[in-house]
Amino acid sequence: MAQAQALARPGWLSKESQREALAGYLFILPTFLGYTAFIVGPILAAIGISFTKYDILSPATFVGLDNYVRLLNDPRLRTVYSNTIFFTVFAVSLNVGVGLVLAVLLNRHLRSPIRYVLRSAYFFPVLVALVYSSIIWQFLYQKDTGIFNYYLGLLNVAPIPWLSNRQWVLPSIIILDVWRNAGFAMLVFLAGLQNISQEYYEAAQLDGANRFQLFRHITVPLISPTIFFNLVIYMIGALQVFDSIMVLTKGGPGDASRSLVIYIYENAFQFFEMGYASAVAITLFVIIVILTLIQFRLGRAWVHYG
Amino acid sequence: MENQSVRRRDFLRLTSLTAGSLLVAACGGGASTTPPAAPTSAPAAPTAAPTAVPKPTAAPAAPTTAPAAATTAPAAATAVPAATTAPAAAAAGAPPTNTTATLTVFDFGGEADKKIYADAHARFKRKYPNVTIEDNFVPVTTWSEFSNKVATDVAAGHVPDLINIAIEGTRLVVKKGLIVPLDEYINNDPGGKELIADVAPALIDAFKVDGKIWQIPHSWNNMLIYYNTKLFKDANIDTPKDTWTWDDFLATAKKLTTGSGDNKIYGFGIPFFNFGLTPWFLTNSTYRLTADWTDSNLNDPKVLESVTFVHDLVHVHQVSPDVGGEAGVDVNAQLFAAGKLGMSGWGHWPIQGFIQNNFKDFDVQFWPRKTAATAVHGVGGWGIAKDSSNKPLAWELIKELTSKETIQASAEAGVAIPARRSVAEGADFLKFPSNSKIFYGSLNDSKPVEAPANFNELEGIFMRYMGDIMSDASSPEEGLQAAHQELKAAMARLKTG
Repeated sequence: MAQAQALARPGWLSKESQREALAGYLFILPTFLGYTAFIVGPILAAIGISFTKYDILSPATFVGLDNYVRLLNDPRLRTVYSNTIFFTVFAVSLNVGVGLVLAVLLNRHLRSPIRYVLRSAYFFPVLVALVYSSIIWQFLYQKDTGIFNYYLGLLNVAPIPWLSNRQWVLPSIIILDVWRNAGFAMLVFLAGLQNISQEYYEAAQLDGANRFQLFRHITVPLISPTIFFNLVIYMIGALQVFDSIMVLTKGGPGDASRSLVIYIYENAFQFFEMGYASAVAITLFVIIVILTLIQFRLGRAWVHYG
Repeated sequence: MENQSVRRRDFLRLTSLTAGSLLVAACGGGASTTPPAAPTSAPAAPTAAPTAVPKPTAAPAAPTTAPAAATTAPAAATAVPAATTAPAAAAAGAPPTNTTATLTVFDFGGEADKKIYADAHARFKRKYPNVTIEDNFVPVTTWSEFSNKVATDVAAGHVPDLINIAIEGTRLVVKKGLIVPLDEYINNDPGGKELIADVAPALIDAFKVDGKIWQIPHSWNNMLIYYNTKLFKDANIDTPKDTWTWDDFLATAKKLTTGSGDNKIYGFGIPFFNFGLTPWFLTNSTYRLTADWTDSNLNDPKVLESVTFVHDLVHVHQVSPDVGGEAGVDVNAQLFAAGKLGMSGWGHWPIQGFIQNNFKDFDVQFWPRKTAATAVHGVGGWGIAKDSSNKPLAWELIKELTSKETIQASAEAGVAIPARRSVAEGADFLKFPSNSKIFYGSLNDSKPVEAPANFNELEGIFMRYMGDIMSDASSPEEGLQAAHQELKAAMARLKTG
């Protein structure tokens, strides 16, 4: 042991090693500074502000745990949490599910032009700013004058109050979200699928596996890291849903489509209740951290890294 | 229920309208399409900008004096003979023209506003060549969008000398001590007196708090009924008279509502935003807040009557399409231009968009009345920051920003109604639509939109419950009762906060 240390020490202390270490630190310095200034700093600031009454225009006053007590007694917060969880569960499931199905279908032996066209078509909505997409969809979704109900009417389906009914509004927003975002999951899955060696499939086929068995026992395990990645990314995104709802409904009717982030935004920048908004934001932060940790923990059971 | 829809051709037209405006927006602004700022008026949907026809958003604001808009202010107008005084020459107490300083300005609006302000700054610099103007222009069209920027800038210690504030923000900034009263500047400066004499008292009153004038109006907006003249003519329906009533309005809307499927036309598109719903209360001699703006008035039976009337337009009479939530874009404007709505309501802001899309088959009329002919107005104006170290110079810049030349340019851009009567009653402003005289004329009996210091909260509560009511998630009675309790609590917090 002592001998090993004696051997290692000169190398560790050599000027060359020091230079390499310094270079390494310098390389990560910009990221470290950015992360500290724009991630850690604001989080710490939000934690601090959550213990105050602060309207931006006047000095903050310390109020202890008042904002957190208010959290527990805010019936609207329960509604927006419920909305956000509903949205997250269905938007994540559908985005990842639809993305996976599209990727598997497009990974087959299609002619190149068709494959490129279809991939581009499914990915295209990702490239369009969500606000603009949402504006178009707002017209499509109009109950009495929208194009969706027009065509449904031709099929003798009664007009659906897509955006103006408490039961329909969140599903409507989820449909838009899947249309817009499933293409990204598809792209990631395609990359994952193309990394799977054909030899696995050929071997399984020789053993008599059918298509579903190939998918279930080869495809899914081998792209499980990709599925896991998509689940984490989409869950975090869904918990922070904002743009499409602001354009389509502003959270209405009533609170039926109000998401947590919209609620935070309104409290912070419309009602200037930065303290309470920060407290709500902290709960979201904690929930995202916990859910992500749970996902990583559960992932050990079903995610197979090469 | 009948299948109501648009034909594909109409849809394409609507889409092209929207797409065109998106392109404009994407290119940075769209001078033409997006309107600028009418401060208050136009509501805004945060996102609304991109539509071809912008819409107001948020709206508004209010005055201070509640009911009395017209009564309070007259003095200024009479005191100064209007046309006599001379213009913009620096007042006796004005800083010398060789003053060296930097003026920081916070303002907002569309591309047209930006150019108008830049031209005004250039004229100012001809008088004060050593003054540098830092224009912190924010390309948004509504106060509610702009207020975030102002609040965060102020919090960060960036205090402007001059700030453009819509009436919905006035009481908040006054309460927070961010701006100073301007009475002294007005009274000691012939240019100030000339300006005040050329502005309707109701607009000045909108910026009075505790008897003092805190801002100088530059432009404003109201709510009028727009009607499609071609649809009226085709259906052989008499055009609305200026004294028409809710009953007349409903009868007209019923006549206009025809067809089904591809040919469906609705009588009236409900302007479903805070400012847009306001006329239904004022024309029924009520308001959402008590006269002093300190408590909720949503339990007034007349408020219920107004809300029920609006609700029934969709759910009972079926003369209006579903409002589709509190939309971020102005669906009504698209439908109106496509001939799918016989009537709707706006201020002055959509006119340029209509014209640019070659739609000119419309005219305007006063809102129909139930028991009163009272109109609503929201105003935008310039204030001087309390912490400004160049207040006299800032006042000189205000005079330039509200000079006839600047206001005339603003009127030509067409979005808002000019604050100066001489411009609003000029030939340029009145040339289209034909009844344009009633834009400024509505101030004869008008109240500012309610804008207490917690305006955003008032708007949020009201629109949230209106969404429930219009979607039949709650009845007008239940919705208003719940909204009343919540608003009452919010107003109580305002008193103690």
